[in-house]
Amino acid sequence: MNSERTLAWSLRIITAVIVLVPLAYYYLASGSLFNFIMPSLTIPPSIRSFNPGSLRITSVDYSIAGNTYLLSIGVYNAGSMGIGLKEATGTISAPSLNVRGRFSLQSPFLLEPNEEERVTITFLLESGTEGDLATLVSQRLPVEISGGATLILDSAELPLNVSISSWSPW
Amino acid sequence: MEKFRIIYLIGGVLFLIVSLISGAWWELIGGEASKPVLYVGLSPFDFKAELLGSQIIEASPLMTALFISERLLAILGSATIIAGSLLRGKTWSRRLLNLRPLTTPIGFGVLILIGAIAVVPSLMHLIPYMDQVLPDLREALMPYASQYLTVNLYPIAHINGSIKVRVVSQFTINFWLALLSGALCLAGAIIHRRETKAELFPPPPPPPA
Repeated sequence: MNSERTLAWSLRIITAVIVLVPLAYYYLASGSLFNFIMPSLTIPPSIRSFNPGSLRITSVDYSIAGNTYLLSIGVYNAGSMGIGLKEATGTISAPSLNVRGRFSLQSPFLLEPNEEERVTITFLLESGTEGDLATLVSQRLPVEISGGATLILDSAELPLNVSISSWSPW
Repeated sequence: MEKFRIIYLIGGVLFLIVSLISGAWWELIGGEASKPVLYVGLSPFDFKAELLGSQIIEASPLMTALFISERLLAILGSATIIAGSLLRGKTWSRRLLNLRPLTTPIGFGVLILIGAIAVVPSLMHLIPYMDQVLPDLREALMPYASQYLTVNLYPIAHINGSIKVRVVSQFTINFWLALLSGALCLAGAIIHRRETKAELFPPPPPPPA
């Protein structure tokens, strides 16, 4: 009976020591209550200065084969981290002109900072005419965009779905 | 060896292994699981938050002290279970058997759910901008509830639209192993209680024919 009581008390004391000693040690080492409680936030400079607008379009060329447009777009990374796209497919429509088409990125790309590359995108016009498309661009009309893509940021990949109801990218 | 001691022993060894190995019990992965953009991992013994592979939040000294205490308590709890189940000849050995392997993962799971159900909405109430940009953050943090986090573009870029980013919130194998060890210890405790009851109150002898 005595040994049982000793054991129970020993376990209670060990438990109290295990809880209190690390708390006391870290409290004394941290210097103040604020430092003791607050976690520290460190964001690397490359992430802090990240701007989605750092991926800039430098030139756009296109060729037409029937209803399909082959867009050759020059893109430049003005940011501080690698950025690219692995997959990108979706639809673009302009309800005001009854224009609708499907786009697809032909090959994935990853641009390191200050790198430039030509990216190929196919655009299949499903409804509307070439003239409507020209009107859309020249009048800078808003478009609806929906689709999926995998964004590459340095070595990380971010699958995402985009749904934009009204945007004028021109 | 009695049945309940064997079950306790297996539960204790399993919980000791889980207590000694590192790794999250709950994780939030933003992006592709193999190459995540955001990774948050939490266990009773550790915390990790990484953005693009770089650690962004370092645990406070208070959290570090609690993690160390919790790990040592888990090791102590499982070591006493193992000792208690092996020392069958000692009358006090049953004193060493405990249910820490059960209370730790259940307490952890409850804390995660409280965080998702109560803390996140309170934060969003305090910071309305967060609610506008990330309207379904609570669902995204809730384990197994949603696969996507919606980011509204209007408050950020004045574009009428949204982006749905792939997010996974889940309990890891470490959590389920800890819960399994807890279930084994609970089973051991139930069997032990039944056996004790049977010893104290033996079944009445059959009536004479």
